[in-house]
Amino acid sequence: MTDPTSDAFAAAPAIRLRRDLGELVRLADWAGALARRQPQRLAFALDLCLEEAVSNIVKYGVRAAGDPPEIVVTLLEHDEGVALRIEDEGEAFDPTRAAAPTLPATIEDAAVGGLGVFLMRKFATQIRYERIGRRNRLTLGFAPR
Amino acid sequence: MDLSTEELDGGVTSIVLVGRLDIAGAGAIDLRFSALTGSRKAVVVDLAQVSFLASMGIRTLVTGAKAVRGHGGKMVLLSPEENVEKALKTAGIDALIPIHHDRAAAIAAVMG
Repeated sequence: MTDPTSDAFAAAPAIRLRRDLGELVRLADWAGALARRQPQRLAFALDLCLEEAVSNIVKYGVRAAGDPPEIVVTLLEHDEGVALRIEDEGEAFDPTRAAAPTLPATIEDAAVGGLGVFLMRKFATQIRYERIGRRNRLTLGFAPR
Repeated sequence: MDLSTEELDGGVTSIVLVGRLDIAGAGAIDLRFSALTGSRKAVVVDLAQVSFLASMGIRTLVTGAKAVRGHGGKMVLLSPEENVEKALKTAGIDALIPIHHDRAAAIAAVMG
């Protein structure tokens, strides 16, 4: 990934979210305001990836008692686009390794759902997962194209 | 997210969605959308004013299309904005629920 350094992320705007799907509205408003100067295509991709990544953490990232309840999202604008970092201390989950869903051939066969991670991988330009101690760190890159 | 309906000639129902079809938006319309798709046989879902779509919104659309198909009807999507259409096509939904950009063609497709 054209790698924004950790230092750059340290100085970038961040939002702390509770593990609650209701927080997604606040997240989308926050990211939309920060990315308002970006091309619409990039802003849409960012919006989509945030919703899919954070809703996955809320729904599936079961955590142990005593783990910090927060999800921290950092948004960094740089010369080549936008980078997002999403961190939580739930169960380890690497979306870059999740199997791609088999797209159904007919409506009757369509298994409803299961598309979120697949869409995230298609809409982000770059995606990287790291497990750092007990922390999941997902870094997504978006190029203006 | 707002949902309104229009009953057209030939027993066609137009469902007009307005706003963000994200998790909150899908939650806001799911009950009414499933009631409509569970009872109508010819459904055009107008997406022209939907500014955002993610997997939960796609779930709502697929569930509705399955319900319409389940009682022998047809459902199509009308005029999604460019990014919304990209999400639909990336998910392979265009192969399951036809996408039209012409209102008359969409209506003809569900009446046929």
